[in-house]
Amino acid sequence: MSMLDLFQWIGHSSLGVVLRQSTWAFAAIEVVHLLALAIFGGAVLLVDLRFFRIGLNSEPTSRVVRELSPQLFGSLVVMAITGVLMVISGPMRYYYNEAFRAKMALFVLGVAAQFLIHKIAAKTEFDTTWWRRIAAGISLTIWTGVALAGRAIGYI
Amino acid sequence: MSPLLHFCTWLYSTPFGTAIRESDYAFPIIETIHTLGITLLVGTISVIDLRLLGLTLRHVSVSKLYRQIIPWTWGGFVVMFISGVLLFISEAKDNYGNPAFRIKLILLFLVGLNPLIFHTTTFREVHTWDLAKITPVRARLAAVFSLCLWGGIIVAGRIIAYSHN
Repeated sequence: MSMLDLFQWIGHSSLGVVLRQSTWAFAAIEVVHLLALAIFGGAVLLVDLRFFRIGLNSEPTSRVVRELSPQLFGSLVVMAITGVLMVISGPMRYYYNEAFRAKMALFVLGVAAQFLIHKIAAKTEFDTTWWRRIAAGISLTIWTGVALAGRAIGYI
Repeated sequence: MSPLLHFCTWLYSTPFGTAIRESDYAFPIIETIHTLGITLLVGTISVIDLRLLGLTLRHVSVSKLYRQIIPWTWGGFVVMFISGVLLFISEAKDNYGNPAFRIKLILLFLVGLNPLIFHTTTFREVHTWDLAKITPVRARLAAVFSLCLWGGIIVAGRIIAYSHN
């Protein structure tokens, strides 16, 4: 089964039909997606800023990352679920959308980068070497890209 | 025509408002910046709120956390406010009667009132509960209000685009 088949199939699934026919389902799902984005953005930012030494400097990096992990990964899961629901509500609107494709590619990179950052951070206390800062910079850039591409989906 | 609607119509028809509205890229770009500003603002403030509720960074003193995070919150606020005003100018006439927009303004007013009350009362004695795992009831109440109001602002803000009249 190709990706195109999969997208066509989920569009015809009963969940896809229900979501598409409802007036407010898409808006409600999108709003939850945005709420999770705010929580996620804050957690990612504070983790990355710690690496740059311009955030929670008084705390060791390992603690900042450990304590912010639940909301970071929790909101990521909420965004993933609501994101999938939005796609199910109209898969063919997304399949050929270049911004959507870019967003998915960046999203995969972002998740990988975030796991890497968390691995690095677990061993970091107060020292911040240049390559750790570069890793944080890459993470921040990727996630900003995900948000920009996400917003662009609606305009393409 | 009410003076307020008159003002909104005038704003809407200024060359500046018209330019934003009629440009292919201005509105989407400003709106994206607005969203990123909100993420910065609400994302950082929610960490402070969650600390007040004892749900994150429990070993960090409240005042220390506040001091280090709040500059970013204000940065987000400035970005959100300026971009928000620009968006409003470009569609002031439509926003005027939009119920979601009106609700958003009320929520923004309330969300501003909340820290004003919190800072002139409970937060003044922060040194007495700085490291408390369970913060005073009023601090937790302020945190819940803040989370609900900011959440409501995001929801109302998004609904503006859905409830064109």
